[in-house]
Amino acid sequence: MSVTRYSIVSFWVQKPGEIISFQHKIPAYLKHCTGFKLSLVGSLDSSLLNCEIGRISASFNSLKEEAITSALRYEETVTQEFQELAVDLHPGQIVSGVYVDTVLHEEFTPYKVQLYLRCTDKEGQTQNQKGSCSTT
Amino acid sequence: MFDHLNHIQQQFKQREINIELQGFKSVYTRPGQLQYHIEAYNEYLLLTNCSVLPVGTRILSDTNSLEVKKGHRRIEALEEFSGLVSIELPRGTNYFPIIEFIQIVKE
Repeated sequence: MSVTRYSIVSFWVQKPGEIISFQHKIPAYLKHCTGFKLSLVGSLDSSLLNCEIGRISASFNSLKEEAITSALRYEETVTQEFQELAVDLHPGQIVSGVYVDTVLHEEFTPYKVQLYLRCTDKEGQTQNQKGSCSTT
Repeated sequence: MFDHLNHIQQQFKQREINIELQGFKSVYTRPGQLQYHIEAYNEYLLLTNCSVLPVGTRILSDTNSLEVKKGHRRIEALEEFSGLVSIELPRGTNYFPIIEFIQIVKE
């Protein structure tokens, strides 16, 4: 039986237009990433509802595979759905990327961004919704 | 000072990316225009003269983004961009540099 684990990359955005680079290591026993979700923690000015507030790009396996480019929107109801991803992981390699804030708003308030990576310990598996889950 | 070309060859080998062409690309900035766009799809542009760019210059691309800060004057590391590359000079600048990249076209 395979297990699913969720790796979280999180960071604070402190000022408008900020550019944040990140590096993250997924535990070496995980072999395949099947999905990702980008979410916002905190609340922003209501005028930003349904607007794009930032963009993220990320590569896997120490810059070998550019796999994620996505926009973060400020929405009233947070979706629990993951976007599909199919990346075989090389053990111990780095996930790296950059987030760019695109809010050009006078009343900027700092917010936290979380990138969830859904990975399994089985190679080449597409999805495992029923696998046991935990947060690392 | 480290050898940029040697570093690029080594790093791309580590990343298992074969290089089809290694060249140069320059963007000539001029008064009256603060935004520039370059297409670098299926290739990489490595910024070589970050240290001479005005503080506050922003380079945004599909894979990497950078805002030039004072500290960049002392850094030799190469920043890599790919996809659609957008360059924004800071408002009020009176310095319009030539922005130089090493262009890597992959196989």
